[in-house]
Amino acid sequence: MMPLSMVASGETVRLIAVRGGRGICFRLAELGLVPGATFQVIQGSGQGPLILAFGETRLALGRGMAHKIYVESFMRGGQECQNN
Amino acid sequence: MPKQLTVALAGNPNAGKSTIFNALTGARQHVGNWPGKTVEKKEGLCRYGDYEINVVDLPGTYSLSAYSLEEVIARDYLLEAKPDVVIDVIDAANLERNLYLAIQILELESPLVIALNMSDIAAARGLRINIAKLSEGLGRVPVVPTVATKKQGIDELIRQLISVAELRYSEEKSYRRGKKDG
Repeated sequence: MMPLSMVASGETVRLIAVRGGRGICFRLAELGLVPGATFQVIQGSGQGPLILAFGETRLALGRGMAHKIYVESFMRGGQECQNN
Repeated sequence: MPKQLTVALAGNPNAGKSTIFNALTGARQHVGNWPGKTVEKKEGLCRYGDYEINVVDLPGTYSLSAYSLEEVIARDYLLEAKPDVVIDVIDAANLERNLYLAIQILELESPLVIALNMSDIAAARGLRINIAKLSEGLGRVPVVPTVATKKQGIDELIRQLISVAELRYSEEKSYRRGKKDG
């Protein structure tokens, strides 16, 4: 498990938890970022906002919010990486 | 005299609201394949049989607890203008993410029809959506699969929204009559 802000570009991850207050949890849920959500990180670690892809839909997310989101690596085909 | 209806198009960004708007009204509203294209509401007219339908295209929103200006516009319109029917445009290829807003609109008790848009893309990805179950799960809301770019399902969408509006109208009438009698 690692913060979303550490994920490298191109990786596919699954959301484990959001460590934050009610406000951020609500907002992220509205955007579809709930535990279990799987998405690809188009633009990841480094500086500036992140870009996430859910199929065709893309989301931009501030780095501050990404710090509070914990994810694990996810391989397509049901096989998971060892990254916990 | 034609019967007049006001219909609002709501939905997540980039779900195809403006494409459905164009298919309904024959307008050529600018449509772009990126979210946030529509930042203010736009109106157009659609004639169908005896009906004159005023279609309002709202900016995309993820929820009704508005964070950005576009979301405020969409929410205020749904809450204050009280359209006869709300069409929630859902990207069928991203069904789950889109249901959050659908539930919120249902909670407003707005008369709702769901347009399951881009159903061709969902099918191409191997997604098979059980329309009857989805409708049942959302409390018997009419769900119409559409492919707005090819104008598929648009006639059915219009028929469904007219029947929802008619039902609402007759319910209101009988409610008022009931009040008078009581």
